[in-house]
Amino acid sequence: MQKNGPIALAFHTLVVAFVLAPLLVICLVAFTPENTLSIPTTSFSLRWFREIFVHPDFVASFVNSLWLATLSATIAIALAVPAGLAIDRYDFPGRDGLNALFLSPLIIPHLVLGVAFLRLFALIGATGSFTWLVVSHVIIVTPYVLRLVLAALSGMDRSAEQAAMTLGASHWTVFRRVTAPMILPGITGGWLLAFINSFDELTMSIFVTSPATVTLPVRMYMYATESIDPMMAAVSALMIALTAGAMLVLDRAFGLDKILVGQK
Amino acid sequence: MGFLTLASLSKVYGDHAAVRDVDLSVAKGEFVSLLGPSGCGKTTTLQMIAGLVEPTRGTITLDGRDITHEKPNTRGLGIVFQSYALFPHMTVAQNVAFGLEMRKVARAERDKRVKTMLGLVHLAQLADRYPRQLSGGQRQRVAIARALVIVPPVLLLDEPLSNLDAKLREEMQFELRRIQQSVGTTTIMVTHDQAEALSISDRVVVMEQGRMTQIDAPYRLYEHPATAFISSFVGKMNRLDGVWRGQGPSGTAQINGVSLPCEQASFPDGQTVALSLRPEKILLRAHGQGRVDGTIVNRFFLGSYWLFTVETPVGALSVSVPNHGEEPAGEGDAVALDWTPASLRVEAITATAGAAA
Amino acid sequence: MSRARSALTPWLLVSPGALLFLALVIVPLVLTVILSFHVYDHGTGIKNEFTLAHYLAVVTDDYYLGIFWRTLRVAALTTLLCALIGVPEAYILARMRDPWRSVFLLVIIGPLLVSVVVRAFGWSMLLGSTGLVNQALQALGFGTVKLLYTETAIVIALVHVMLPFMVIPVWTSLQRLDPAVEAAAWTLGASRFTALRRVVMPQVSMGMLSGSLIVFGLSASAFAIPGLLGGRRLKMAATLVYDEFMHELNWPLGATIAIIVLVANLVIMLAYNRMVEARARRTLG
Repeated sequence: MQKNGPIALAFHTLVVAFVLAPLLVICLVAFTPENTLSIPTTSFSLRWFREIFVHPDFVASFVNSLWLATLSATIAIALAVPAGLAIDRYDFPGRDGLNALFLSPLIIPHLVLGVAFLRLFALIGATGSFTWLVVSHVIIVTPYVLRLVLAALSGMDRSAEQAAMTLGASHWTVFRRVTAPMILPGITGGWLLAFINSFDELTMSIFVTSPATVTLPVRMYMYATESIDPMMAAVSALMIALTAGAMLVLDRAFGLDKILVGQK
Repeated sequence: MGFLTLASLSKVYGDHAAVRDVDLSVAKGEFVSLLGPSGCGKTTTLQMIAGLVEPTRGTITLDGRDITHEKPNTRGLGIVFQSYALFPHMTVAQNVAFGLEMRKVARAERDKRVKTMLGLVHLAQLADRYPRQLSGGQRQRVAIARALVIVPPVLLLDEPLSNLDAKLREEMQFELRRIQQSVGTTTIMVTHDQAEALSISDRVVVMEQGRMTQIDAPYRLYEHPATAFISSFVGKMNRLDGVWRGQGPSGTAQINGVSLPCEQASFPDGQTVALSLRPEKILLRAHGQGRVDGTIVNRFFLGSYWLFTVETPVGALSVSVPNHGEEPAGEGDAVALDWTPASLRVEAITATAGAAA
Repeated sequence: MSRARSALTPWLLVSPGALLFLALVIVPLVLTVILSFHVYDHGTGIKNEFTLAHYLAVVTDDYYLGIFWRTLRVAALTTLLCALIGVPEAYILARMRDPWRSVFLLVIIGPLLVSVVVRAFGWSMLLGSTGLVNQALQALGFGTVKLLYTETAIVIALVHVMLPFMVIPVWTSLQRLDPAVEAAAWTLGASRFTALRRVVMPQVSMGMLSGSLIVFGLSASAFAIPGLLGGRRLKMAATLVYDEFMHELNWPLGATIAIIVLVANLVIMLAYNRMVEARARRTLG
């Protein structure tokens, strides 16, 4: 294996600086004691973090997003695991078409999905409903789960299932005792990835949320278009911390590169 | 002075010496194998010759020219990688032509040489295929053709047969030797398979933990292994522990009270010794008519020969007997074992490396 | 197990998801297409009559054409920059040793998981008139530069957001490349550069192409970045749709633009698939 030369390393350093710069700035500014967006030079202050809790709408949006992400990720698992089993293990007419349908939200711009959901919800009188917001998020995050479940299923050793079968296990027992534990990393990884994607989603949500169901990213976007103050930095810093935490868990458990890069 | 000379060649990674003071001189047209288990430094040595790894110390001389610090793309050596490293996006012919293209060989000349070379490796009909459409053996031939078409002064082979299945491996061994002999290129092959090294090399270099421990012709390596490691690594070997009784050359090795005469050995009285004896050097006799009596505990039929495990007073011994077409003694039979004293090797146990033959 | 049951099993397994996706992907998209043909009246709203007027308006009006043109320009520039930065970076990453390799791979692709709003906000702080970049420029003796609310700001932030989408596919194709292949080219007499050009690049080109398509598609429909860094004046396709829906309340026109964005995306994806298939046929025979 050849080593990288000095020019390559200098280039790499610049890229890393470029990637980290906005995130670092947010984390620094969040601790400013000033009233303006400035990097704290003399002292650090938590005043802007306290400020968040004076804004009940931010807290409400945060709780709302948490519920939304938890529910939609969980429902996505319930849909994607059986669908993944059918697509990977059976040959039936329309299989490829269904697979494409399940993965289509990945190639349809969220903008278009947002518009489409808004139209549907308006027609059936579902605008502003939290339930329908969850459903729309399920559509967006299911492909992520399905992809990981499919990768886990095709990557697992089928002979383990056959062995269980020859030892007298029923189909359901084989799934419960052999298949499910073997694809569990894929399922858990999929759930976390779905959670994060739902929690961060802005473009689609901004079309289908109502004042009562505003998610945190939508709230932040609205706030940032009106005014920019260090409280935004504090909220952003909290979100970065949350994501970094989730990332560490994902990486420790499964290797983040595997989940994000995907197998093959 | 050989055609290719390595002088105290060493590679140190941190505080780990992967290769230590390798001295080797290879004559023009010779086929030399570097043999050893994984991690013995044989591949690192090859990569240093190829220019893919920078040596920590020592020099590499090719035909009187010092190439120690030359870049791999100017050395002009032919290398066959373990993974073959074929260019997946190029056809067989394009793969083989690549080296000539880099040398700016004219189109017509290039096509002619590629064609000749593909003929030599019996791939003329597959010139327009892509690597992924070829079998393992065919890919390997492409790799050899690609390395040889540039008429390299030295051909380097890194475990060339390890990715092939057993039957194909044997076939390709002889094929490799045929091609090498017809081109006459000086060749160095790295392998961990002793059978491979013995069958096709002019000389074999055994490496252990970064050092060369023996350089010899294959049959000499087999008959006179320099170290205990080599005797167990090269071929099958019975090993027994015993004690030397009697003073000097007149003494004999004893195991459990049985005394075993041997030639050209001399140790002080009471020295613990290791005895080694090849299974094919032992003869199966009728009970009571050999050096030791024993009982057959296992018998395996291996096609060209039978392999027995015989329990004797000196310990369990493996015995191989050529298949002459009739069934020999069976499990449970009482037999005797015989051998010539010259075939029994005796070494003092305290002295390990360096007790050369 | 009876044969009838085994034929039914896959359908039972996929049906909940399949029904949901049919009802919430296909149906709403069809409804949106229909919506784009509805007549809109500023006084009374959406009427139950159909027209092609919105499509005509969008392709003839300079205002909309300007926004489409800007969207294309910004997306193309973002794609180009992502390729210029992402491809060498993926190559450098692939040649690193662990643990640095995994650490920096996480650093480069990890921000993918941080909300786009957060990243856009970070850039608006960096590029603002009193932001860090301008402070640095002033300290160095240059005057301040207006960056925020320009196309430059949008492109910078988009490159930041899209970079992982370029690095990932290129990295994946580099992973599949046998490292000995590059060494083989050197030993055959190729220089570093020739080996890169003739041996490494052709292997990576498919990864680069798929990365470029993803980056282009996502940039062309990006919403948060132009929304926060482009300001009210510098609109792109997505922010235009949002305004039509939420401020102008001209839903049919908004739907028209959304459909155009979707169709453009699908055309690019189909063209890409054609290309991949053609290439596969060529190398597989």
